[in-house]
Amino acid sequence: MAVNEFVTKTGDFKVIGKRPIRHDGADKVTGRATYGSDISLQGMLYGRVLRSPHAHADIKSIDTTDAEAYPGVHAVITSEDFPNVESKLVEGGEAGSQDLSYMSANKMARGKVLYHGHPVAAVAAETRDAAEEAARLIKVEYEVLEPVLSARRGRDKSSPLLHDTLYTDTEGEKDTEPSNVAEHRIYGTGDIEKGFAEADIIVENEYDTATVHQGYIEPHNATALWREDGSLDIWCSSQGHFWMRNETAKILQHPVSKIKVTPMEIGGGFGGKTLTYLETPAALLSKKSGRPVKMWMDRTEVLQSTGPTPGSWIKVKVGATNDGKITAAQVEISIEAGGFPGGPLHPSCLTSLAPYNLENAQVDGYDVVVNKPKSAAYRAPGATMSEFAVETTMDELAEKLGMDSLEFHMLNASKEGDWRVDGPRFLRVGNIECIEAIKSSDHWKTPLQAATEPNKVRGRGMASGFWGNATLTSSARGRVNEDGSVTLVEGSCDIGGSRTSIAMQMAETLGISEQDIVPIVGDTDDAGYTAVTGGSRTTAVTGLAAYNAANEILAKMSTGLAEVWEVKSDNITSQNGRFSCNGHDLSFKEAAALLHDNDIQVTGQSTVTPKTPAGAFSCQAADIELDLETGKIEILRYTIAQDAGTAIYPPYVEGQMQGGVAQGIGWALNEEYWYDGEGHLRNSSLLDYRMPTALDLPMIDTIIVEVPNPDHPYGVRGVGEVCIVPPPAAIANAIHNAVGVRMHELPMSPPKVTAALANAGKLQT
Amino acid sequence: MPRLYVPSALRELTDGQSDIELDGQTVGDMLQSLESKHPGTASRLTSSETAHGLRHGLVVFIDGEQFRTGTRTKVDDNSTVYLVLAQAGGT
Repeated sequence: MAVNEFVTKTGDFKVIGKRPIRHDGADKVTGRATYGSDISLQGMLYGRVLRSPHAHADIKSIDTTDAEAYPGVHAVITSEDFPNVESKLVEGGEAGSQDLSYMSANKMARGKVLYHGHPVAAVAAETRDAAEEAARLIKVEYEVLEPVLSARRGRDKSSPLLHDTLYTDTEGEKDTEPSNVAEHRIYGTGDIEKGFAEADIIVENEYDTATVHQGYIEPHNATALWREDGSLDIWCSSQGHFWMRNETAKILQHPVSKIKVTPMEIGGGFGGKTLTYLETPAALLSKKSGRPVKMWMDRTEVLQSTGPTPGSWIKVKVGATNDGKITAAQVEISIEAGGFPGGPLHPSCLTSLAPYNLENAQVDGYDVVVNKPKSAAYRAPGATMSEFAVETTMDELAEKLGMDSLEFHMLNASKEGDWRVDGPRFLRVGNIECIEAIKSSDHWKTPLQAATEPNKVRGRGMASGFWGNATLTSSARGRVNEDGSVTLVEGSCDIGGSRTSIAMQMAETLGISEQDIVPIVGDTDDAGYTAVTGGSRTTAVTGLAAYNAANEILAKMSTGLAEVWEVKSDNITSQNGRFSCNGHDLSFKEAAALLHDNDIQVTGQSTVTPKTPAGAFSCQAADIELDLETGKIEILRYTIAQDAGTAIYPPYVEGQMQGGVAQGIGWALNEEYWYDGEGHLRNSSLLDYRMPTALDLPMIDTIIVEVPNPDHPYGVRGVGEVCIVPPPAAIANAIHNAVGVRMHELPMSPPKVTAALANAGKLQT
Repeated sequence: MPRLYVPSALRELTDGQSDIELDGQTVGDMLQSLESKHPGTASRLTSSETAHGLRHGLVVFIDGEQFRTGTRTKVDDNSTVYLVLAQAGGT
């Protein structure tokens, strides 16, 4: 069945919308689930990576002699062991396309280190301790260079160059002088000057946001076995094993057909596991030693060397008439890509003004290389920082207009048919419905009580956010077993419970219980090609593949029954898990058994690449209490309204919403990479990198808004990302509501809040 | 005649026009037509290094639908064509 041959079904579901037991639940809670670190192979060695102690330095020489002689060591590799790959753009990754030579150099530094923790060499030995000791014996001579540690500094033409051959690309046109600005993107509509001329009031601000990490619990890991015939097996924790295979093939210049990647259970990713890190060093160490090699990172390595979400420097200017109508909006976003180009620039620009219907707007984006780890995706990559800047500016504009912020949102809200930053018009979206949901929530309708302590004040804020959601390709295959169960092989790594949400869509289509679906995540030799579990796409897109596979199963079962019953298959009715014709009436299970007894085996499969991404909005409200002596902020109450299209498995949807908000609160209040002046990351442990715990958060109330996606048979939209977008802005607006101080920097940690309070003469001592 | 939405950065090459009617049955035809009317524009949108013929990362949007077939994408007289960057995400 081709994509989109359906009428979107809403309501009256048998399986969808229910709260069944999740398929992977028992294995996860009992510890039976198998993660990457559980892999153990005959003759397996352990690998460790030597990382750069400098943020920016030329490598003058590497001497591995002593490491190679260390007892138990079987192989040592440097960039010399990686194939020389040409500088060319290849598709893949969150940035859309990346330069292959940069991708390779990020796995192992080639001539130059570009961030503290950049891999320089790797060792495989009989034990992990031996590998680590040997790595310490590798002598590396560096010539230390001045680091570039912010987008502001990188935009400065006097900043030292990270790459001598990087030239700014402005929408397809290259500059002639090398620069730390890899890319300048320009988006716009209408006449921005005319729009500002029509404004009665204009607000203009600048914002800075810190580098933050996704904070997944399971560190990166990879085990590789390079056989004598050149076939390569990799077991790893990733959000997309087909992407891991493709990236490994490109970097190692090894045929895709020779590489099999087996996805292990994954202990969180949030976008950070969409790129390879240890896969290629493990593979080369295995090739060199002739033994399987297992590697995993410790927490310091995860924080120093894998891709966080970038810091940013953002300027916003917005004008409106006295009656509250926005006449013009202008945004300039500078993203810290990290040591190599390719930060989430486009989505940051795309989402920045999405909540508003604008006639005159301009967004400029700059992708800036800095001496920090190459950024990776993190839940709605790029959107949280740009919306922090835009939504706090809008709140200030509403305040100056004497308008309620929520009413200001409603007055200017984007909807179906309105302009999107990159040109196309919005399809059916639920922006207004989410704002209305917050407006009618118990939270918004309940007056905020005053603080009971003299040194504390309370405030309420709100903000909206958008995420476009991705489509890409997914596959699913179903096989009917003789007991009426259906084995579902899918290619999506299950990071957030997608086995169950996809199984439920297949079950709904087949008219059977979701417990009769046996979902399996297949490896790259087994499952059909499936892109990354990212972009909030999996439940929608792999779910569509499962829906198509289920319909093929129903059609084939009808054909089979027609043969057994000696009737025309067109006359067989298949509905609600029953097959009927001319007095015959069988349940799905009875039909499966009958077909098996007649040697008729049934499978269905589908690979889909939908053409219509279904974006999602969220509107959120925050109540905070601020300590005027310490600057500490407590979240008193938090409510999120989010458009899920159709909530397939409501507990997962609520969990995604709450998880995204929790991470957004951490980003807002505490989380930041703290670099010293030389570019050393000084808080590379979870003791010093302050993520919120359950003690820091209230119960996060969820309101699932359902504006069905008309391009999905069950109306599904992605739900995993937009939830993280509004929290920093909602909290910043609540701070202003509490004390009248505007925050222009993330995180809004006690030192920064007390500084802002002191600056406004409101700090109590 | 199909229309092409002109990215902001290229409007200096199209006399400020934000969308232009162009001849053609495919996106590639339209870009050739664009180049003949406004020299220097198509080279900013196309690449000989990609299978789809567009610059890396660009996808075609027509009437809300996304196509990864690049310059080969069919258009009709009612099409409004956007060339936009593809987007993935994090979770």
